[in-house]
Amino acid sequence: MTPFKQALANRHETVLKYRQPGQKVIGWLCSYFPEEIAYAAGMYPVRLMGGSGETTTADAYLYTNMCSLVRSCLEEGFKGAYSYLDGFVTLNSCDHVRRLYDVWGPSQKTPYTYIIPLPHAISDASLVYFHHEVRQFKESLEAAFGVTITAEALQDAIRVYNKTRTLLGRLNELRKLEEPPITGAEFLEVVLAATTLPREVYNKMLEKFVAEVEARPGIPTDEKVRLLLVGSELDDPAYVQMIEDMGGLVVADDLCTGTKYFWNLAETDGDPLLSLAKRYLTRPECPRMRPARNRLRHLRELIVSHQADAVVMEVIKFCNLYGEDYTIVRNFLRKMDVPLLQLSREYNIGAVGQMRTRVEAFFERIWGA
Amino acid sequence: MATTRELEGVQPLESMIGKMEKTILGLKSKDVPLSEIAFWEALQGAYKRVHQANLEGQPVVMNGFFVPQELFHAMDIPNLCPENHATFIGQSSQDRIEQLLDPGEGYGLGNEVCSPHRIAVGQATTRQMPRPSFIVSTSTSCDQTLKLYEVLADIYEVPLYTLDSPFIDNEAAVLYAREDIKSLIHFLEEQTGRTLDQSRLREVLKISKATYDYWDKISELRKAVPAPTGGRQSIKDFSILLTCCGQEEGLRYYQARYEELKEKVDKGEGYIPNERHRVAWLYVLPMFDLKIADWMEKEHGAVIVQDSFGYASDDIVLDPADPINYLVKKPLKWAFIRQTYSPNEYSHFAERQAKLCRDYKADVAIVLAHWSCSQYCGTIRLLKEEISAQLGIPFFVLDGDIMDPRVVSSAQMRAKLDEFFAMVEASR
Repeated sequence: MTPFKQALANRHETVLKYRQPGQKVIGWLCSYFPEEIAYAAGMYPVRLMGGSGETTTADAYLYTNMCSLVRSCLEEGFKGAYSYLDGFVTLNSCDHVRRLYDVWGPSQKTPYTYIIPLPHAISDASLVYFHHEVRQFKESLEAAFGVTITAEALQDAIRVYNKTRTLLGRLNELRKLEEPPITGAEFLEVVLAATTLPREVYNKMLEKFVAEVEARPGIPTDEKVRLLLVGSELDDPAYVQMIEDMGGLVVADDLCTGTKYFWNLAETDGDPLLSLAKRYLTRPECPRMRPARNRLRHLRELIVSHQADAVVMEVIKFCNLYGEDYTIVRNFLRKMDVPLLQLSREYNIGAVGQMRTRVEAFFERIWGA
Repeated sequence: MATTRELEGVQPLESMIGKMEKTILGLKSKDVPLSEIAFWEALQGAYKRVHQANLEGQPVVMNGFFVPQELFHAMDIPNLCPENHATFIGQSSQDRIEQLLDPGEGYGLGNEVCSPHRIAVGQATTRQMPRPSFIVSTSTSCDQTLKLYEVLADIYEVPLYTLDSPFIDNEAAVLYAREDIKSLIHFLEEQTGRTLDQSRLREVLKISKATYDYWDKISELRKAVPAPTGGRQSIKDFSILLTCCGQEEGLRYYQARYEELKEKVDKGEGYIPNERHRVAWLYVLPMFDLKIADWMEKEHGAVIVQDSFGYASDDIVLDPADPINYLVKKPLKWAFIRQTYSPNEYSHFAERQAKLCRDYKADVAIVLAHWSCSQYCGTIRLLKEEISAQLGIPFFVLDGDIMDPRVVSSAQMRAKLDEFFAMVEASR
């Protein structure tokens, strides 16, 4: 088992193992969260993920028509799995996450909670606004925990996180090759581990890993369908593995747990908070952001640069943003003559039989063509 | 600038306008409250403007619920709200609701997508609505609203402007929203080749403010015991606010409505003869069966005194002296927006709702858990806990869908409500 897989498989133990004495752990959800601020405060930011099993208690607090990701996260909270959190921070990324936030505060014992307003548009005006909200968050964190987050600490955090982004960027470049040396499942695993391990530990592991992968032989792709994977939050590499076991190879992704997480660097000069606001606001966009043409243009670039044969869009049931984005992406890809398969799923993998059938049929169609 | 486009939606709108005309004539021949006639005249007027612009090749805008339509009125751009249109069609076509829902699903929307949205998309793909020249929406009140207009803009291949509504209305958010409104004005001018006349805007805002003032007063009158009006009437109130707020016809409706309710309250007259239950109806009535409100009134003496769509936030003051601020704050005046958009820790919407139950002397709370509305259903537990803690009144969650009777039928809803009211009666 790779150290990344190990860290993910036992992520709560990972956090407890690496947490320094007295260090605060800040749980976050949504990759628009400016992690560097928590890092600069000397805190340990970790991504909230759900668990396995039913969400019986959470269902009584949220509702069964809320996405299974947030219900699963909340269930983990009720089970005590997140009892080590000193804070929970998110943004108004989607209806489900903001309702999770509304319910988390009163129902969990996390001492500090904060929701950062995120604009839906990308413009000079929205950057000014988001800069303000990022500053508000930083000040809130300082006040709540009695810490001072200096500009120097933020700049240092940006450098550390940029190192991650650069290394992951190198790894992602390898996926463009005719014979990439890394599968989509493994790639997702590596990126996800960044959201669980302390950053310095992770960067060391990653640097070593990237060098190893660069030296690996490639995976023959003659009989594989090169795929761009897009869609809802996905934190289970096994799901990607299933698709790849059936004859696909995920050579690119536009997932918030994948390339969106590290795509662009933060500027290292000037006001670090402005730099962070800019970096997060202008990263590859979620379907909540306007205008849609930016996002579609990015998808086109990914398809071309990674030579994707087709696109798979996985959507968690009730994920309104991706669910309703489907027709827009479909129409766009039709103009490019790129096949698209939409897969509906729950947060936890289940009902794989139907999924297998659909993926197989999709691949056969592509091979036949 | 709007260009020549194919004519779509001509026959459906002609038919609707014709039916409304018959309704108006029928009402005028009877002794009905003036607001009933004013309602249909206002609605018909809105549709006539859209229809006429469509025929003449003039700009038509499709807009979301909470868009500052006053800008459209000031620039003489007829507007059509597809969500409101969808609910209107759905209400009058219950016998063929599947036919209305299926095209949207066939286009690619899942059946978990908001039912009025599925209808709206189906209407677009089957060309039943006038083709818009452009579309204006807002980021509120939910993700589905955000995406609906993007989907429509994609279907029609027309420009889309989405206003970024404040999530938390702090000073920075309001400044950002002000810039957004200015940017929208620029967009409208670009799309139509027209210039917004500030004096005309001020006139429209005066009418809008007067309308909202009446809405505030009506909200206040609804607190009376016995309740002077029922749940179905509230649907008409917000329908007018969505379609012609800022138009004289809309104001006429609200003025008539207010005067009628005031007279009833002054006389101590109730909407129903034997008021046994005062219901806080959280969310909105099932639009495919508005008569369920009549049925509750008749069968159980249960009158809806307060509903989520039908009241105005008293902490938002609209001042037309600052037009841009007015347009920024206007959506927030809808308590539904406060409640469903802002975080609870900021807007205290759960606490406010409990206070509303108290203010309106509601003795039961019923929430329609609209199957395709994740974001509202996510508030149910918070509302229940707050209302129970503060008031201890019975709280009932009624599963269903506002437009799709296949989720829970009218008969099933009524059966569940029967059980609930029986339980309430037994406990008294």
